[in-house]
Amino acid sequence: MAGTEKIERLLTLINVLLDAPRAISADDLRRQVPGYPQEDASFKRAFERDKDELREMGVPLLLETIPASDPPLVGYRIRKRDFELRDPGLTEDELEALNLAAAVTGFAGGVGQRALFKLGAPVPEAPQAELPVDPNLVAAFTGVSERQPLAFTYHDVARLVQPYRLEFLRGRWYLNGFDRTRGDDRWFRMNRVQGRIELVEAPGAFERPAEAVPGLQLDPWAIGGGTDPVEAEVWFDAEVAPAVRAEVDERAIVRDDADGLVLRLSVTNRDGFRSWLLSFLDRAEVRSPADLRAEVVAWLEELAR
Amino acid sequence: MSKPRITATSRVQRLLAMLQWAASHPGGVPVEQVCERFDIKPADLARELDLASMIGADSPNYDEMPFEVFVEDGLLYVRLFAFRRPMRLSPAEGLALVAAADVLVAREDATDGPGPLERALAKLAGLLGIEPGEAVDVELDPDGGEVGATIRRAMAQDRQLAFTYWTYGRDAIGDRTVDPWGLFADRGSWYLVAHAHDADATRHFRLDRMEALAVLDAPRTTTAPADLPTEVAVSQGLGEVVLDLAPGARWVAEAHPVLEVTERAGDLLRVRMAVAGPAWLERLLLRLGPEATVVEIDPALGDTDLAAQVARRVLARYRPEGGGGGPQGSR
Repeated sequence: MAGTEKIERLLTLINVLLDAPRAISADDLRRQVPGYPQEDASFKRAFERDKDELREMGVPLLLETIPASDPPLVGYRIRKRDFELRDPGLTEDELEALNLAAAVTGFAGGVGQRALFKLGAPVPEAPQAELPVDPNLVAAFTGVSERQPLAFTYHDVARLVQPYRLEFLRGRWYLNGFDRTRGDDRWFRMNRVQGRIELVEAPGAFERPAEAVPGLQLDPWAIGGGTDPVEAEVWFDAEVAPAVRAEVDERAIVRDDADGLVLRLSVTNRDGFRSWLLSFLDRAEVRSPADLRAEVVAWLEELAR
Repeated sequence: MSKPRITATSRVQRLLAMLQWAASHPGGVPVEQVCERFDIKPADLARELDLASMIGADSPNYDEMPFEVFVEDGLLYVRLFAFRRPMRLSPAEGLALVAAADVLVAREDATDGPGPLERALAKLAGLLGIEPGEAVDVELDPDGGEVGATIRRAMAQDRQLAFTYWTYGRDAIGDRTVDPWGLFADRGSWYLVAHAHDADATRHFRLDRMEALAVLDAPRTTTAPADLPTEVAVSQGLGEVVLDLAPGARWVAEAHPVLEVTERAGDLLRVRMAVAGPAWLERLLLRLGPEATVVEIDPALGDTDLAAQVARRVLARYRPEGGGGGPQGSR
């Protein structure tokens, strides 16, 4: 358990800074808040850690010039309106529903529990299904909610992105936004982001699109594709049918019986389609259109030689 | 397993939450009720309350003490002079709640207008400045659905399970009878850990590759494995393969665990990999096509001509005269 002295120090620090009439210098804080080390370097380290801790709690520390100080000194302050939770007006049954949701899904480390503490709900149980934490997820979400552009490197290219939406699909986090570098709407896989995501510019720096961003399409025959869509009819043997059925939209199914499963898919990525089709080995066959079928046959013939 | 260590951040916020909640009952609140609501032992609560009453006590000004705390006849009384409102949600906390709510909101019965979770999500979205359902979308099966429920029932009743299963790595489909011992989720899919009676060993099975699942009358006959896995391990021992990868296939070295990598002349990357199953290697070779060449292969998996052999087998589907008939005629 985290040390009691530290908890006492953090609470006193917030109490002193919260709604202070003027910014307070680090030296004054060292005097007013019990528990800081006397030695300069260790004090500095402890104070930096406390600032990080406050930031993690969602408490923004304002850095301001202390009025009438000469030479000008900087100090710290917490504004009440930055600190306090605006009451979302959750009713008892709404809190209960949130509590239940947090007991089903959540992140490691009790972050959902802390949120529910703040909202006044009883402690939920640890979540039964854990969402994977990505080191850049919180920065990305901040960008989405505060409308702040994000700077990061992806596929070795430095990007500036207006983030619109986060999606968790098949075990992975994805970010959608307008890539100013490329002048295009894009999806980014969070675990392929190289290094850290930095928030740049002020909150409210861009407007969200008037129409909702369409959901991410992960189907291998469509994702990242750029060719004109063709309707492909694909057959699967009855034994793999259950696994295929679990993977596709049921509207794609045109036949499903003892002779197997037949799907009609709109293919825009022919390479992706071929790879996916061949992952079923000889349990699947593309029947039409003729040119797509011929491409698959030619690929196999090349290999069979 | 011990409880996770409580961080300073969590502890500060739990303390504030307890004090704010108690302060909202000016007539006092039973100590055991606080302990139950915040899942804290009475001794720990007493220590936290002591701590709270120390804050600002060193200050020369009495009015800098933010809390007045006392316990009498099993009732806790709190008055707040500061910290009257909870702290703002941090972005991480906001995301955690929105994500959790998004998973379940689609399951809510909305016949009589929005349910409590949908209303809660709308209020949270307002607080965080996002559009509900548009900023964060979480597609997650939190419990394995109907199949998961059936498996849980079998485990609760100590029964065996039977199902038809597609073993992807070997591309084999067969009927399995197992003693179910646990469920876990890994990278978006649910898995059953079970003692497989045909193999007489612990195996895991992906729930979405099970078909015709049935709870049998027969009780389980094995004991739970000492260490229930919580993630899918890479299966070993099926042999190794050495591939030369052209530039277009270099991703293989990043996407799959490799045992050895060497750069070769002609921009080739030579990788040695452990193979999860023969069908797994066949798929990889078909997919890579001319971008990969088999240099060495464990005889148990095939020979260096494996890609051509598999391609011929799949081609037979496309040429009914090549044997097998194929589905073309079955319409």
